[in-house]
Amino acid sequence: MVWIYISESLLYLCFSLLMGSFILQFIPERLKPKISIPKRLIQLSVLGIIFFSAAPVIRIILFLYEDIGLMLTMQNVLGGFGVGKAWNVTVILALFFYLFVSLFPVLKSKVLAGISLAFTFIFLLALGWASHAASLTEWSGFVVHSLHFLAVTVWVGILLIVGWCSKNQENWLSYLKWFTPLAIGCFLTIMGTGIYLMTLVIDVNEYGDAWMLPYGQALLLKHLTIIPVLFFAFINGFWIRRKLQRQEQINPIPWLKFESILLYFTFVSTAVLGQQEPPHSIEITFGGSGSSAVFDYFYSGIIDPSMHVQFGLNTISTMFFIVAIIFMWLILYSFRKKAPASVSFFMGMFCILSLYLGLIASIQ
Amino acid sequence: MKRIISATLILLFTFTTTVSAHTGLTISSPADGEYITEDVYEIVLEFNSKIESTSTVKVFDESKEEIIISNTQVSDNVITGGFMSPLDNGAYTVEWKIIGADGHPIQGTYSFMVSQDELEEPVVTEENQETSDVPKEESIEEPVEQSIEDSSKIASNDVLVLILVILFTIAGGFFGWILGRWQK
Repeated sequence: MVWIYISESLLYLCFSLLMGSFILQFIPERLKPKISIPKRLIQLSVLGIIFFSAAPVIRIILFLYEDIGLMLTMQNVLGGFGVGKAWNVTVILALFFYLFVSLFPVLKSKVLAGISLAFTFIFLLALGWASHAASLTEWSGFVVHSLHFLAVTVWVGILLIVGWCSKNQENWLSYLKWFTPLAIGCFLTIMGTGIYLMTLVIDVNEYGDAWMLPYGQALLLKHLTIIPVLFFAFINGFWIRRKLQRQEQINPIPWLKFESILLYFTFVSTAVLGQQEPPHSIEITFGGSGSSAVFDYFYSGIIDPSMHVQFGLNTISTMFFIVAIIFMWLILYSFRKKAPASVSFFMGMFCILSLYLGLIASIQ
Repeated sequence: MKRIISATLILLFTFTTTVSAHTGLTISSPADGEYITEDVYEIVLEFNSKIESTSTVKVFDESKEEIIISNTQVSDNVITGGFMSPLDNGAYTVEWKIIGADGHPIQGTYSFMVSQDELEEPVVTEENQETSDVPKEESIEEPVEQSIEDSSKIASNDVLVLILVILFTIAGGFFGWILGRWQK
């Protein structure tokens, strides 16, 4: 169960790495720090797409083979099922792509980087095609899902490559000048498309009710993770810029690294969302897959699928929110006091935990 | 060699168990919890979307013996299975496993009762009365418990308070540490 989430989140990571690497080839040298991307990273990311996109297929084979035998199942799944066929196409294309990035200097020429970018984009569309949203609507779900994923991979991809492959921090101000607006644009796109995708699956008024289900829990954690991400984005995009303009000594790279780690957590919760049963109707889903274990633990009343989760502030939940605000403030405070980025990162993690428990505790 | 090792590791990582998705059972005959008083020759399950042909349905009796289903047919969004002979009296469990149109595997179980009127009728009603007595007691007890819990529905209040104290301690500790260590 856990492995499918890990594999799925690593798939998003591979996409982001490819996207970021190829986009950065189009940025003139004077607008970015010195970056050296190991070729092996590109190769591994392509292989990653092959392996990690196999997870749903493997899952189906494991699900069925007890009944009709392993060989027959594999023939059936790979030859007959939509998922299996889609994966076949992905593998054949990805093998081509692998040879392409291995044989040609894709990180040396703009033309080759452009072709690679197009390749990556095709894979991205294939993934959108297989998404929940695509199966729910004629075409809008597919388009919006792909757009959502594209915005994520552009933003996170560039962040990852600059954060982990930069050799120095020259041209940092001119890099921020173009990256900050791009990141804001991507973020707004992600938010808009994300809200649309969410309404496909749950009624916004049932957001709290969905917490009874694993799906809702994953959605809540994903949204909460975005809060510390925004604090880090503010530090990286604005505060560090101001410090650099004042000629202060500061190394922005660790801050980028930790922001990308936080973003990876959103990948994991997204993976959980993608594999869980979306609660088109909370009551029916409840009957099919039961309630979330965490919710069971904190909620001692009789859980009735038709009930509506009611919120009300009580002493305990208020205290949790207070401590959450303290942690938010500590994220910024430790930056101001020049503490290492890891301190802010942990403050961010505690902030997520406090907010989560505060919301859970305010259920009446 | 290194690459082979990492590839196998990656493959190992993709081992998973089942997770459910979109498709769900909408109508079935016999239905969940149904109490049937006539001959049952077949079982029909209807889902809310197209299902793949490898979907299966199994029926078990009270002693967990599988009832042989002679022909299972999958057409579009319906599975039908026929029994060799009408089902005897007793409780039956149905287990179904399907692959939805979007490739997500999903499984479920439900049960129904077959109880055809026979000479044993009086016995049945007596049993019925006995069994209906038990739930009554339970149903009296439950609301009492609930009304006690209504005042505070969070079971683990103590746990939450404990976590709160720990979080405040962490926040305070870090604040002091940052203040002391990186004072400029």
